[in-house]
Amino acid sequence: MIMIINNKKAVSPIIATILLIAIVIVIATLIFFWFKGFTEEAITKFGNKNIKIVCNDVKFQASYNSGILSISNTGSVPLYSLNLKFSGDGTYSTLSVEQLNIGWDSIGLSPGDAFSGDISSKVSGKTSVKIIPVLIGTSKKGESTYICDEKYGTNLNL
Amino acid sequence: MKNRKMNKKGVSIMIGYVLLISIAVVMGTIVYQTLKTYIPSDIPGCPDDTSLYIKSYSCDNTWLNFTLKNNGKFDVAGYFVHVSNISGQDLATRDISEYLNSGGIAAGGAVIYGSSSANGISPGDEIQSSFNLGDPVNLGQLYLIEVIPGRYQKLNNQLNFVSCGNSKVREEINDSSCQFIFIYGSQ
Repeated sequence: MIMIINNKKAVSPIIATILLIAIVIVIATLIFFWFKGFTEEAITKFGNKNIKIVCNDVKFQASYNSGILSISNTGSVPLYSLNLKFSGDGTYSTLSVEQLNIGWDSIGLSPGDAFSGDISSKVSGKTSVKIIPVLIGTSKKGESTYICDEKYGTNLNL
Repeated sequence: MKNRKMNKKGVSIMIGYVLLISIAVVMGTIVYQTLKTYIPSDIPGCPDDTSLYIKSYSCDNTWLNFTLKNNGKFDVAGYFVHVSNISGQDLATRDISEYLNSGGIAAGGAVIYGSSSANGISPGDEIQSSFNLGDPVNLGQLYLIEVIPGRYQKLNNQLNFVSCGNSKVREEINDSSCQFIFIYGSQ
């Protein structure tokens, strides 16, 4: 019969506790930074309101007549830019209003203000255009733009 | 048959509670920090019953004059005014506030009436404004005037000048005297 006497000492309970807590903190930190990469950074406007919610408050009128696109900002949210999604012939293309070079002000369209520009050279073969608002807000990186969902846009027949 | 005597002690009840509450507080804080920007909050806006209407207008190839009346239930500070000189254009997009000659102060694309930071146009009040759209502006034939009321609105102890887009009014013009072109020797 073999008799083994285990009288070797392990780490003390204090060391074990410190190790345990340290390991937990390190693992939690790793998981936190790993998970942070999956979450998008919040862009806020009007203090601390998420810009996605601000898109609900965007109000503007748009019209197209004889090549002239007219926009009137009737809400309380400044429109920093617009994305124009042209559709026709089974295809679509999206351009920002700045890319069209039609005189859009770089600071955007303030509440109560209006804009018009000639887009006749861009609408050949297109049947409709969807005007999608683009807002500017602040994030930890500084000022950031946000393109509102298409449901906040206005569709115009060309 | 195994007969185990479980006499090992776990953490005490008190420490258990402390841990439980701490974990709940930490998790609650994390969730709040993540979702706090989604909490609905007001943005500056106008009351629904704010209204101005264009009572009358006149042109004389140099001046555009119009009278606005506050037919709403709230005081108004001023207005945004745009015209269209393109036939068939549905929206007036040409800002003429910079050509204001009398009747208010042009500021930030709007015409403000009365003292700053006060809503100076009370319900029932009429105001007159005059714009020089003749030489050197020469806007051509006017087809449309649009006016959006604006008022100072306090939100979070901050005074903002807000446009009342829901109360926008428009007046289509069919008047040959509203043609602002340079006539040699007229001035």
